[in-house]
Amino acid sequence: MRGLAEPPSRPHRRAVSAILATSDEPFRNRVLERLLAAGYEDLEVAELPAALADLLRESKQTLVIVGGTWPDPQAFLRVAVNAGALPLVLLDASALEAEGEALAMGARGALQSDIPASSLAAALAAVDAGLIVLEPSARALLLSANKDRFAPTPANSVAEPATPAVETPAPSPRKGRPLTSREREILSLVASGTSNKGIARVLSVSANTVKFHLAAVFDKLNAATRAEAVAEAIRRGELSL
Amino acid sequence: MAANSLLKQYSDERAALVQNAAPKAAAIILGRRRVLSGIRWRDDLIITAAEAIGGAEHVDIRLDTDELEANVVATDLTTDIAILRVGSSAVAPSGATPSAAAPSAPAPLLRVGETIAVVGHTLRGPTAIWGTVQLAGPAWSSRRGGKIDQRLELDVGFDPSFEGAAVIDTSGNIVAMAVPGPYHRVLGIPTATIETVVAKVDQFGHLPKPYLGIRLQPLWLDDDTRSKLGRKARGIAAVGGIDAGSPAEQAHIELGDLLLTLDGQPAESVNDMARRIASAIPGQTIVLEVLRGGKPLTINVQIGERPRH
Repeated sequence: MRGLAEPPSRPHRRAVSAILATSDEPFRNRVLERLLAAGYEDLEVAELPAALADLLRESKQTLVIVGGTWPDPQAFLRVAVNAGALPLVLLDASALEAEGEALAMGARGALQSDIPASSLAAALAAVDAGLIVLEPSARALLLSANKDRFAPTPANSVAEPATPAVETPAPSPRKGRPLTSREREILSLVASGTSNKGIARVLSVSANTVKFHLAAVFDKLNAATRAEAVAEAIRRGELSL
Repeated sequence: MAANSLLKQYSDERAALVQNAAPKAAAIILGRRRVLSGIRWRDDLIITAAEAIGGAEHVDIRLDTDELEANVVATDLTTDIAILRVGSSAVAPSGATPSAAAPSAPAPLLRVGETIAVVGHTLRGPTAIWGTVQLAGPAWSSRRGGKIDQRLELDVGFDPSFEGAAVIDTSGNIVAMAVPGPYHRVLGIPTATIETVVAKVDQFGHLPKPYLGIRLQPLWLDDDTRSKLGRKARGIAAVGGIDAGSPAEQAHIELGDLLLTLDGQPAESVNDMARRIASAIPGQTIVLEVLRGGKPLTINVQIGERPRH
């Protein structure tokens, strides 16, 4: 008796602007926050290499962000490279060695995972344009004997992120930070009893994106439930009643 | 032991009560790893716990052995009540069509110490646990402003699969829905409260969320100001924002207004205001007394409905 009422399917699949492929949840949340801040609204997440392979099969999207602590991202990176995608590797506790290995595997960029949102957006745009993105400090890599380890690339050029990663402050906890206007908009719809899919329809983004925004909202408001988030936002004067 | 020993009779009676209630238990399937319980309230209406439902729009449910799809019609975070409607009532399981509404006459208030059973459903079939009404208090207001007809805390061996399950008394009546509360307590949301929410959904087709359109900021009063205003509470809520086109804007509430009273009762804090607005009904007119430019002013506002898009 399954399927009495077919859920209305989304009219067409929207092109996502990037795929975040990692099984490392804290890493994922940190990067998502920055991607959302940088205006990447329509994101997909792959938690397993197989899921990434599926996504790359059905999507024309080629920007893939992998990362975490090397060599964890290797499996994702391999899938992305094999599918002809453009992978950007963001590494926790990055070492030049690991960045070199990632590039050798076919990554189009290797950066520290704590780069600011604006730099991340710049890096993604550069990768999308076919450039290779490196840390300023990785210049040594290019000049070193390791140079021959890099896979040849069509455009053999180097784009540096707007801000050198060394100057990046440590990532600060989200707790207590004010909501963004998008987050307020979503929370207001939550308060009206709208489902995640309903919110996604209203805002023309994917349901996944709504979930990511809500995760950030819950984190900022220190809330475990939707009701707590709404109550806390009202208490802070972030949401009208 | 004699076949008709008291112990056997006791056990048989308990099992019979649970079996009678079991057809009203539904399993709500949220994902591979999360199944909670629900109560078949009417032919096509299933009640379950709103928090667990979260932002879902459709869920699969299991009733008896049938797997059905249900739409999430309403979630009320203030009472933790979610209302689901099975895809189409016309094709509801034919074999199991229980009588109209699950609970009929207004359920009598539960007493502390009463024996109750919580009857749920997992993918492997109906489940039941017996327990005691650990606390039976008066009506209360949830922290989110939900008016709940009786404070019920249950002493039962609860696990997450019982969230949203039916609580039955020893007459077999459904008296509440079991939900997890703070500090690992198990709360009962009384039948009367569920009926109120169901009635609103019957009336409006959805659950309208009361809305004024003001954002509030707490201010702390010093003792002088407090005594000048004749207020007990140290805090006072100040209007820090007004939504365009909202009831508040139409009623000419202004930025910086300090909220003194709501319907004659002192507005103690932002939380207090939020609770009281949350329990209002759209269309209802409330009377706000505000302090503007040092002078008290009375404003009537008709509560609206929070925009859904």
